[in-house]
Amino acid sequence: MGFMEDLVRTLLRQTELVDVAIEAEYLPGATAASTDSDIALGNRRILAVVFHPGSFGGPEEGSVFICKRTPWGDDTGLEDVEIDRIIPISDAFSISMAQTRRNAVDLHGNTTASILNQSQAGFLVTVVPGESTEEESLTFFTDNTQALRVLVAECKRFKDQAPGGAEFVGSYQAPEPFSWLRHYLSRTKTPQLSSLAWDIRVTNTPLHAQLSPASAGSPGDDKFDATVVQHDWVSKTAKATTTREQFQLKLRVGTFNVNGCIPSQDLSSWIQGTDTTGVGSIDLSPVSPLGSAFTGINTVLDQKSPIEPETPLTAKTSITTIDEYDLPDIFVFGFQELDLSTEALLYSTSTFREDTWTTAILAALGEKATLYEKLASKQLVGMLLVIFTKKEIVGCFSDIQVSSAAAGIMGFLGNKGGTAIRLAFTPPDTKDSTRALVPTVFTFVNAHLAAFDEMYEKRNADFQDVSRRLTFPTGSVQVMDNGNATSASAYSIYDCDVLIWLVYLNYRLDLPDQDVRDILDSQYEDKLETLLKYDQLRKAIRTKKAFEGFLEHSITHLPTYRFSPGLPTDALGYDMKRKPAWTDRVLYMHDPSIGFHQTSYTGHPRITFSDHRPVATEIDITINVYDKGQLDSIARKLYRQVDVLEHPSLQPALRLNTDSLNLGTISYRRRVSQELRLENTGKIPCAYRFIRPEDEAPLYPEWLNVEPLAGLILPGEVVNVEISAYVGDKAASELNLGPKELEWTFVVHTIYGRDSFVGVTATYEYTCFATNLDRLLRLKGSARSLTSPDDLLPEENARNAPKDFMKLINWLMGADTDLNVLFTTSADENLVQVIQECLDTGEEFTFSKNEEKTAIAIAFGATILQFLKAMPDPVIPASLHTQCAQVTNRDDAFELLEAFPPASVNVWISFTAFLHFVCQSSEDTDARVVQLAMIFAPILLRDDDAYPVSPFKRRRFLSFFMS
Amino acid sequence: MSKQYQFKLVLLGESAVGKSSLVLRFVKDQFDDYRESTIGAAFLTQTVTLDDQSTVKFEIWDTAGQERYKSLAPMYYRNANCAVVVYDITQTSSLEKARTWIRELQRQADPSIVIALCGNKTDLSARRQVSQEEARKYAEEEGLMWGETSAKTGEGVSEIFTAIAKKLPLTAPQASRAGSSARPAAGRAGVDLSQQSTPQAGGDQCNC
Repeated sequence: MGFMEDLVRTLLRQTELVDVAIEAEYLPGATAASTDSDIALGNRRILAVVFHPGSFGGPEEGSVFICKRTPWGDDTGLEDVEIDRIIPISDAFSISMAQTRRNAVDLHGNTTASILNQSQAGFLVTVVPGESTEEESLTFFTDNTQALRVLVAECKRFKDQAPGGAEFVGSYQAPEPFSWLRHYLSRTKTPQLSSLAWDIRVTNTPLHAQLSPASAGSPGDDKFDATVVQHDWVSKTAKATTTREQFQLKLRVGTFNVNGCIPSQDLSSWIQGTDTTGVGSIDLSPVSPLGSAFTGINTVLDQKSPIEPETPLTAKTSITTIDEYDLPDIFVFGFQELDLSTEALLYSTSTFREDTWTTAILAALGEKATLYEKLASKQLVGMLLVIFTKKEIVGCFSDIQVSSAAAGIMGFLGNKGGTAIRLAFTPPDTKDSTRALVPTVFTFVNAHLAAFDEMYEKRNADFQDVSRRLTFPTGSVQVMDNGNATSASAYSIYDCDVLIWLVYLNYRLDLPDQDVRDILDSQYEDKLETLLKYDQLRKAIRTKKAFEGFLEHSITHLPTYRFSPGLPTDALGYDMKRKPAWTDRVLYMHDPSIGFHQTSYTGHPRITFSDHRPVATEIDITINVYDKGQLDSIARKLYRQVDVLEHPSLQPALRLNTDSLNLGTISYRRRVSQELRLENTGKIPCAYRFIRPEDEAPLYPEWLNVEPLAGLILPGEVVNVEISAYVGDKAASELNLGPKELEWTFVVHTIYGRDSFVGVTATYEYTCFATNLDRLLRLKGSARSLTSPDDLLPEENARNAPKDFMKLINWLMGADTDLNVLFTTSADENLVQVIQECLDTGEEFTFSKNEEKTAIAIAFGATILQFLKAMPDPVIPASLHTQCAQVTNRDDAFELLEAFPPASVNVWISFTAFLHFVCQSSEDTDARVVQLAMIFAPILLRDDDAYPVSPFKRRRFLSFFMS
Repeated sequence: MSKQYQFKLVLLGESAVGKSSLVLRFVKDQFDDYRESTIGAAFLTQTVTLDDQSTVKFEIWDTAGQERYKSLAPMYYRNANCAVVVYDITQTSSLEKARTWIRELQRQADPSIVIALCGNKTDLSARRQVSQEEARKYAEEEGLMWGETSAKTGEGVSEIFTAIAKKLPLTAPQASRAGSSARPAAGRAGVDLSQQSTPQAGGDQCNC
């Protein structure tokens, strides 16, 4: 085997072999007839016969690979080989050779005159891919006669045994003819990691959740899973090993429903963010509406990559920004209801409104306006999306595309719907102008969805509809679809790195009108958070009805809707016809590798000419900048490294260091963990994934956790998987009712290989936390002393009150300490653990002498909160909440206690008596009542979707017992 | 035109009776004296060509014999066309365990499942505890196929799998339509691969 064969082999998986390879010159446009005419110096190619040993008794299949040699981008002096074209040797294939004499062709790059002047003997070889006239023949010249004869002979041999259309009998296991070529075809079409636009929803999905459904004995679609795991590994590893620089962009994004008005006030507070009086941003830590799953998303840049880069990242990472002034680099403004006239609905050709608003924006920028230039805009009837950028970076934007989708009356009128702009940003390269950098793709959507409170479902449907119909043509670009080459006609709004929706959403609050106004007008510190619990948009995101996976900054400004001039208003200026709501929002989603930090998110109440108030947010975006050539080249090599997860003769060999793990004793709110070592002891890379032991079962029970759930392991490499146990409230409420001895069997599936079992055992310690009242009353002694879950007092001998809870109250009542710090100061978690342990063991509370009494009291307060929060059902059954809310005076409140279950009455009376005591010992009793009602009403009378009750009225009910 | 079939086969039986060795001998014609205990389930395939040139492809799940993993076994024998229940002829207790497996299969597996009882380790016949008569009689009573093998010497191994291969096309219900999924265990019924329509020859994926 020669050098050419070796070069081609670097492109192949282990499943394919090189038969023969020769170097030749490609003669574009030449045919066999035009033999020795003047031929220009062509491109160098390698012609190779590559074959796939027959699988499942089938014949060998051969193909001609035409490869290009390109010099490497870096300083290694090496050449890179790329597959240029692949021609399967089917029965329609033909190859012929003809002798020729022609002027010498410089195959070796030596441009010496002596060689050029020589006349050279050689062969023209013509390859005809098939009978179809559309497929042109290809002609090459070579002087390597001997090798060419071998090549032609081999082609004929493969052709003779090639599967013909008619004789072939297919089966679903035996692969279709030449299906092995798909792997290479996809590679020739989209070899570049850098140019792939991956769906941002997929990049935000954990690897294991992208894989096919699988359970023990039903491995799922290994082929698909292999592709997903490979891609994940390659893109993460390539990005971690490629030199990267960071670049920061400052965005200012605003949304404004102008209600058909033209600008009649100075907009600078909104446009520039110079004035935020009255809507001060309080806490600007990003908050996810999805809960803790997404917290810390802004620190993703600091996460460890699966493979350590060769030198520490910090050494290679430099951060560049455009200027030292703190002005936004990009302004994005979305307007809704620009024009409410009926004509506008039908003919939206006028640019008058757009021009007016553009002028107003520039005016609001004042002297800074000269720094900016309008980059793009898109209007659809009343919706306008417009982007301005700093003049100096206009050249950094490319592939700017716009789109619109109407979703109004009859589904097509443009009074509702959305407009979108997609653009690619490539940072200015100050270091090396010859490099091509990987662009970051932004998509901005300005949308206006169905009105009215009760149209919740319609709004969700509109969102799905608009997000599907807003598309951007891809031109000739091919995208990879799970490893197969397909041509997509359009990019969706999700095919990007950063997606921002600025929207007039019409999502309202699921609370009665008066409640909303009362809460807004109250002095509660948490009034906005309280109201936002009933926000329809957050509910839609939570229940995955719309905007699934989107994030929103925490809202610290008052509702921006509605202020209709001329209508009666409430104390805060909201008109009485419409329930106040946060209808104007900015939502986003971004690739995990991008730093996304919002520095503000506010309403602008001083701009009053519309019935809405404008909203704006400022975002610092940190993007990673990669050298395209380097990234693609590294990715190609990595792909080759992990190509073969399935091999005809080699089995994937995954070794687990153990088949059983004992986690020891596990107890409430204490985390324990052990490592499971997975080692690839084979010769080919392997991929693993944890799968369900049964079809309907979860991957693992509530009390267990596994990280990472899937991954790729190179030969000789070891991956440590952490198996941990943490018993939270939900797990404890279930485990308290089951046996002490816990066991679980994990099934680890090796892709294209076996299932391995890992048994996990643990001994659970019962706790009095996360236990319902009726059960607490029947505990004989301490929770820990239970021998089995049924080891309870007979129902008729049940206690009057839960002794564990009473112990907490009694301690505090007897403690000679300042109760004003209770429930509002954060507690020492170690002390809380000590108290919790004493309750569960039934021992006396004992603390070391060094502990301050106040700190201990605070810890008792925190334990009480924890105890009540952890109870599976609230102290007052949800069915009574409506009655509680209707009570308007103290006497009625006490009278209603008769309707409570006896256990609830005892807890309620003793606990509210304690709260009363706490309030009395405060200097400002009334304020303390308000504060404690705010803390405890949502816990004692917990929210229940079946019995919606105003949070305000629940607080009132509790207050009757405290004051 | 010769036929191609595909069947799912599962191996069951007490720990250390030689299930994995039997599969290794059948699939690779190899034998290891010191094989580790199977902790999990291995998936292998082997094709048998019959006298009439039809081929039977076995998708084999070799399962763990240890008692503690018994609860997972139904996941592996569901949808199986045949089960080979293995015992060790030098251990009476292993035949008892085999009977338990067979009872479970008769109760819970698909009613059309073909069950073969297989007495392994005939190379150790000097220490035999289970007589051929006893096992054969039990198999006949229960309507099972039966044979003795030695994974170590290879004796009887291809015979028992070939016998199953011959019997399955006759007994297993034919799939009305070949599934398009390449997932093992996807189809419950055995699949006559030759009934599938002829796919297009390679042309369409090769427009590079």
